Amino acid sequence: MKKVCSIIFTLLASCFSLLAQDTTDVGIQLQLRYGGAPLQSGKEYHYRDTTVQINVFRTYISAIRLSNKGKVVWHEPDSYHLIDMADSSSCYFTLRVPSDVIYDTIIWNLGIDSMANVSGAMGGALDPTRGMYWSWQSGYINLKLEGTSTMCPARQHEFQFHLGGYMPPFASVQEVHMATRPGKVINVSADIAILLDVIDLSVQHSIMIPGDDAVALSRIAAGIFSVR
Amino acid sequence: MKYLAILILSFIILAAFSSNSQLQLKRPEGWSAPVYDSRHNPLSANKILLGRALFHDPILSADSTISCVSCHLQYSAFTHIDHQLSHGIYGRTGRRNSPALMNLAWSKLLMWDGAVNHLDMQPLAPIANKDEMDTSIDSVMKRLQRSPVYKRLFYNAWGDSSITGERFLKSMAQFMLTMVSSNSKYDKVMRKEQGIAFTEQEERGLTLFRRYCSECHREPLFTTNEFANNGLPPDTTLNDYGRINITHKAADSLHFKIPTLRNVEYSFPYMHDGRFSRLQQVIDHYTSGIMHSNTLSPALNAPIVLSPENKVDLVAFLLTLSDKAFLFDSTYSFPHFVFTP
Repeated sequence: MKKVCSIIFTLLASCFSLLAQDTTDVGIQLQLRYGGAPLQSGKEYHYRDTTVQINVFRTYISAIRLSNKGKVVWHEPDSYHLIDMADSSSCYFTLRVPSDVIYDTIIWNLGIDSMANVSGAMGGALDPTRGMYWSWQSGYINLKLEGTSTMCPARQHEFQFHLGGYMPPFASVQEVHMATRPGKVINVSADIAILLDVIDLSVQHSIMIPGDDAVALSRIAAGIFSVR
Repeated sequence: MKYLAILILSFIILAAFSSNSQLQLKRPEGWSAPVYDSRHNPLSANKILLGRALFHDPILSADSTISCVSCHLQYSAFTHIDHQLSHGIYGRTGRRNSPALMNLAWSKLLMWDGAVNHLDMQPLAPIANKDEMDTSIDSVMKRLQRSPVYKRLFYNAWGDSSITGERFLKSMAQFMLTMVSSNSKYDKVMRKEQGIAFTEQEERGLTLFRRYCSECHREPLFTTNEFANNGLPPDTTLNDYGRINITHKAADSLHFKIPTLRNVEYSFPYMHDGRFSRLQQVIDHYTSGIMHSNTLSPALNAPIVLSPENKVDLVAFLLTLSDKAFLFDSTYSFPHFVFTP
């Protein structure tokens, strides 16, 4: 009996030592902005010669990797994060990076990879109750941007962009590369104005399906991120 | 030490017989491996029971009037009989004929146009459709979270009473995976069961079937689960062009999912828009109703010529695909016992 106990103890101890591999928490702080100002729901921002209000901004950041001199040195397991302007806690999360990893670049995907799109029901950030899954057709919505602008001719001046699609040729997931330095917190700005500046809301105010338009805007959306 | 061994042994035995022990997906003899990968969603009796309760429960619709069963009735092979287009909430009529449900573990894409890519995700479509249940997955979750019955069912199935979209969808998929139809007369003849044989007429029907129909309605599932244009002129009140709406590919215009013919005797009306109410009309379409277009299935390029006797023989064979054991299997019926403990 004593022997069994000591074996179990040794096993447990070795498990803990494996778990206790030296890691550092690296915080990712997303700063949602519109041009120079912080992004706030209902606030009016300058848009072309008129104004714009943003009511919904939600996007997936996934497959976070760190690379050094062009080589990926670490990737976050099960890496899916839903960023939501309505929930400031979603804009900060931590990565558990081994302390000895040296990196010069952080890479992530804007949106959800095709594998996760065809693998059935998943939980956490990917739970379909999070409002980022299409119902009429399978697939995640990678980015939702909704708001109003007097320039927009649609009903109640509302615009809605639901960008997604995983099937070629309309796969819209985008890779984002940002130079950075090892540190306690990586501050990343996400400037929605970069995306809205290329959209003429008097002409284009609704994308709700995968297609060429969604892919084109997703490419622009990848450019909203920059390390501060 | 001896007691410990007995304890462990009894625990293993208990686990093996408890309702949460893992079940295997049913795979009838001679069938290919299922497309559904149950490793990400291991089957258990309690999860299947939860899925069964949900499948029968109108709590999934905005005003608690419509359940899955409303359009997928067991006695008609889980479809909506007598209506060309299935009707849902507030008396609204949908755009398509609800498909018969069976052998879904072998189907990669679901819906007439393949809009849904995984069985887990299928319930999301009718729940959110304005003409069907007209609600959203998160309002359904909120309603379930308020229900003591579902708290208990989720607890029994998943080990705690947390009710999430993932658990909901996986439980529903598990119940649907159990809907395996493989006990028709055709199956019994193929398995060479004693005392069961085709009549001469059925035999003649099978020969015709294999010559003219089986390229798309391939045995033993009686579908390839692919999409094809079977030459139906589009209904101008619906203008439904099928799979092209999902893929945006011109080659998919007028392509619809090839339905299984199992239980076809009970799953009328036929076609995505339910335009035919009798099998005779379906066969007449293939012999004299084909609309030629550049997306027509190559299998239908050459005309199919059948005498009136041939047609009767073919129908006689199709009736051997009826599986009464499936249609009346009580393990699919409304589980009243979970609602009235």
